[in-house]
Amino acid sequence: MKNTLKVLRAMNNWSQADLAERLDVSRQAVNAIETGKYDPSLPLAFKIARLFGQNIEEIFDDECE
Amino acid sequence: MTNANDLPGLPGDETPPRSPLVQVSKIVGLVIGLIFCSGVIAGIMAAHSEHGGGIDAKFLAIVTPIILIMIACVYGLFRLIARSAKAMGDERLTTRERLNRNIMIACLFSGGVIGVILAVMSDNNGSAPSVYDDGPLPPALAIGFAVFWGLIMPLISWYWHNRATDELEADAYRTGAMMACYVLWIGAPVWWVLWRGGLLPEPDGVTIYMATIFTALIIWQWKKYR
Repeated sequence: MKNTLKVLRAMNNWSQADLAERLDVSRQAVNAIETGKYDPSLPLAFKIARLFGQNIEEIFDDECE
Repeated sequence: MTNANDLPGLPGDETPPRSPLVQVSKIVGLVIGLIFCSGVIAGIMAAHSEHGGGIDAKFLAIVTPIILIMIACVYGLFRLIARSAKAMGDERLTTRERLNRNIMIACLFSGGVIGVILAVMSDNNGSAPSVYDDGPLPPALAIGFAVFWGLIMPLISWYWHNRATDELEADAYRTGAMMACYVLWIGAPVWWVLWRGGLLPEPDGVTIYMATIFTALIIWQWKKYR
């Protein structure tokens, strides 16, 4: 699933480790989500959306698959 | 919507290894090498004890190269792990990753302690008891191993699943476990019927067990680091 996580992270000047710590996941999880290799669960997707103050569908796009 | 793969890397980004499968294969190969060398050492010590024991030049000449190979395997593992950490750019571990690493180190240490116990036992009675064979074990040792696997390992696993893993790792672990189940559910009956047909030797529980373990391990690590 395509997403804007990397862009949002860059806008906040966060490393993958910074974001992973905020989401309470591993750096591998952040990397896998950013590169579309792993689709986050709904709770994690909500957590990401809340963290960046956006709606889930603004960050994740399932129509690009 | 922009795909992260189209964007340049940011400082501190994890760069996946060039070939994760090769990376995992190397790690598994080194671990198998370590286990194999441990078995060889145990066998040599058992045979040596049967012939009187004692440390002489011949014994050292046989054992030293194997120990050197084991040291090389351990060094290789550390290099691979260090290279992976360097490739990530940011070597700072998150809280969960640190806990995960510490639990894994504790498990490896436990394995080392079991290996030392077995080596000490082989010195005492002239035969090398092994965890993974069907030979007799001293009752005290059998109870100790049963408590470790039946009580301590489930507690460690429960703690690890609940506190140290994130959903990516849990997903990778589940897939590995599912594939391992298929190896067991399909591999065991296939071997069994082929044995009944006189085409294969009798099914070996330890081999099937190890096949499920390695399948789960390889799939789990591949899905986590691919």
